[in-house]
Amino acid sequence: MSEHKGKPDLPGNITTYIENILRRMRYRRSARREVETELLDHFEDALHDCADREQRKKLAEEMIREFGDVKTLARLIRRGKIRCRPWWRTACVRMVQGVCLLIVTMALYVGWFFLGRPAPATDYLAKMNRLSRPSISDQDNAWPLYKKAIEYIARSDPDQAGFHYESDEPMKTVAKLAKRDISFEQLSDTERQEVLQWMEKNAPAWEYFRQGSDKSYYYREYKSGGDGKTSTPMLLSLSLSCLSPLRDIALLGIFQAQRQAHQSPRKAMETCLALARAGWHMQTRPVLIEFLTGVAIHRLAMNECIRIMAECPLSERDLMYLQGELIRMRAQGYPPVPMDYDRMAFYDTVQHVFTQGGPGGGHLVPKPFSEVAEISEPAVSILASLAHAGRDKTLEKGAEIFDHFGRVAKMSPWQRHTMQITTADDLLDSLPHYRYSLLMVLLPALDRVGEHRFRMIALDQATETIQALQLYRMQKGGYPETLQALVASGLIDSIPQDPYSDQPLRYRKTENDFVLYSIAGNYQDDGGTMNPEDQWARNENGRDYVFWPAGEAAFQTK
Amino acid sequence: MKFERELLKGVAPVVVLEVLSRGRMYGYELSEAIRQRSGDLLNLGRGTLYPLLYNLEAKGLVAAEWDENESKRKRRYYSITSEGMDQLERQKHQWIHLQQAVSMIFELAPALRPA
Repeated sequence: MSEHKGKPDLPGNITTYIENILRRMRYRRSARREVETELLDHFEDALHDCADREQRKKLAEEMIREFGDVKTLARLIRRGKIRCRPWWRTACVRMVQGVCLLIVTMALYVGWFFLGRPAPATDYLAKMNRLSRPSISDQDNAWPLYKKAIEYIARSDPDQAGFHYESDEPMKTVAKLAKRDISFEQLSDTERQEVLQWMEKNAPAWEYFRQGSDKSYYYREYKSGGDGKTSTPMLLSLSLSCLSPLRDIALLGIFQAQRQAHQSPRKAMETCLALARAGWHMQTRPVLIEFLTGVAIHRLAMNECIRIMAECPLSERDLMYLQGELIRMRAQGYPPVPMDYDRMAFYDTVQHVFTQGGPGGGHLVPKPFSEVAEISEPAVSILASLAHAGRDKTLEKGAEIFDHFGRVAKMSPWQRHTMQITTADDLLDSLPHYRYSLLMVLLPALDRVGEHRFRMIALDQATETIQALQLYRMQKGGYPETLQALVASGLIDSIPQDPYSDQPLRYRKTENDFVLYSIAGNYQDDGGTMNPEDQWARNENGRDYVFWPAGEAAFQTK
Repeated sequence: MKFERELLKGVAPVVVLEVLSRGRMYGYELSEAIRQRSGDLLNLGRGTLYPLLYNLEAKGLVAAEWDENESKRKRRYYSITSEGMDQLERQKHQWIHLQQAVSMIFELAPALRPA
C-alpha cells in the first residue's frame, strides 16, 4: 500500500470532496486510506500542469463535477472494495455477522420468551359444571345427602376428611377389615366390639349415604382447590377431597352388610344395593377418578352380594328383589369411561401454561409449567420450556392420545389383546419426552381404565347370573347343565360375556354346586382355579377369576 | 460528447481492458489514455472509473500494485491479467459484431458493415 508522504497541495474543495467520499464509504480504514491516496494522486496528476491558482481551482471544480455525486461514488467504491476483499476476510466478516445475528436473534427470542404470559380465555370449570348438570329437579339429587354423610363422618377426625386408620385401635381393625386380611366374623370379641362401636358412632353417616343412594342422580358443582392467586389451572386443582370419605362410608356399608347378613340377609342385600347405586351414581360423573371410585364401590357391593348368596339363605323373593334392582340399575346401560374432565383439564392446563398461539406465540411458560410439573429448579423448568413443543403441537398430540384412548376404552381386554392395540403409554413413549413433557406429566394412566370397567360389568352380570342360578335351583331342584337353560327359563335375558375372551363366562355344574368364572388376564382357561394374590391374572402366576364358589373372590375390595 | 450512462456501462469494462492490454497504467493515466484514444469522444466519468477498476480487480481481470512512476511518485498501477485477456478477446469480438449490426440498422457507411 502506498504511503502518501503528506497530502499534496490541492484546492480545498477537492480535499473536502475526497473526505466526504471516505466518510460515506463506511469501510475499513486501510481500504479508505488506499482510496484516498489514489484519488489524491488522480487530482494531483490532473492539476499538475495548471499554470496558476485560478486555473487549478476551475479545473478542480470541473473534475468534481465529472466525478459526480459523493454519495453514489462512495457507495460504488465501497461495493468495489468489498468485492476485492480476500475470501478469508469475507468468511471472517460473514462469521462475525452470523454471530451478531445469532446473538440479536437469541436476545429477541429470550425477550419474547420471558415476556410471554398465558392468557386463559375459557373457564373450563364452569363449562364442565354446565355440561355435567342434568336437567332434573334438584330434589332428586343425591349430593346434599352424600355431603351430609361426609360432613358427619369427617367430624370423627376434623383434621382430615376420612379415617385415621393408623391412629387408634378401632381404626386399625377397620383397616384390616378394609384390606380383607380377615372377615368381620373372624374378629376377636374385643376387636368386634371396637368396630361395632365405630360403626354405631358413624351410623348417621351411613343413613345419609343410604338415603342419597335412593335418589335418581348425583350432581355436585365442582370447585377449584386452588387459592385463585396462583396461575395453577382451575381444573387440575379440582377439589376431589370428598372421594376419600365416600370410599370410607362405602366400607362402613360393607361392614354393615356383613354384620346384618346372618340376622337378615335381605337387609344385608339392601345395604349392598344401596352401595351399588351410589357406585353407579359416581360412574355417571365426568371425572375419571370419580368414575373409578364408583366402579370400585360397585364391585365391592357386587362381591358382597355374592358372598351373602353363598353364606346366607335367601328366599326366592329376596333373589327376585336383587335381580329387579340390578336390572333397574343398568336400565340405561353401563356408563362409558368418561373423558370429559381429563380432556378439559388438559385444555385448561394448556391455556394456563402456554402463551397464546399464532405467529411468534404459543410457547410454554416456565413458571406455570414448573407449578404444574412440580419442578423446583428454575433452570430445569426454563430448559424444559425452551425445548418443549409449541401450544398447537401439544394440543394436537394430546387430542390424538385422548382420541386413541377413547377408542381403546370401548374395546374389551380380549379385543385389545388380539388386535395388538397400541396403548396410550406406547403412544406417549413414542414421543420425544423433552418435547412433550407436559403430556407425560398430565395424561393419566389411561390404558387400564377401560379394563376396570369391563371387570365391573362382568362382575355385575355374574352376580345376576348367580342369583338366577339360585332361583333355578329353587324352582327346578338343581343347577342347570348350561347357562343357556337360564335364558330358556326366562331368568336372564342373555348369557353374560367374559371380556377376556368375548365368549360366555365359563360355567360348569359340579356335584352339588357350580363354578362360574372368567378366564381373566392370562387369556387362558385354568379350569376355574384362582390365585387370590393375583385375582385378575395381571401377572404370570395369575389364573382365572372365579365368581362362584364365592370364597376367594368375595374378599376382593380394592 | 456525453454518452448515456447505460450505454457506457456495457462498453466501459471492455474499453478499460483494451487500454490496459497495451501496458499497465494508474488511474489518471488510464482515464487520459481512454480520452485521447477515443479522440476526446469517450470520457469515462471519473466517478465511474475507480469503482469499475475495483470491480475488475475483484473479478480477477486486472491486478493492482503500488509502484513508483517515472517521477518517483507512488501510484497504483493496474495491469490486465491473463483472465482479463481472455475476457477481452471474447467481449471485443462480440462488440465488433454488435457494432456492425447496429451500423446496418442505422444504415451507416458500408465500410462499417460486416463483410
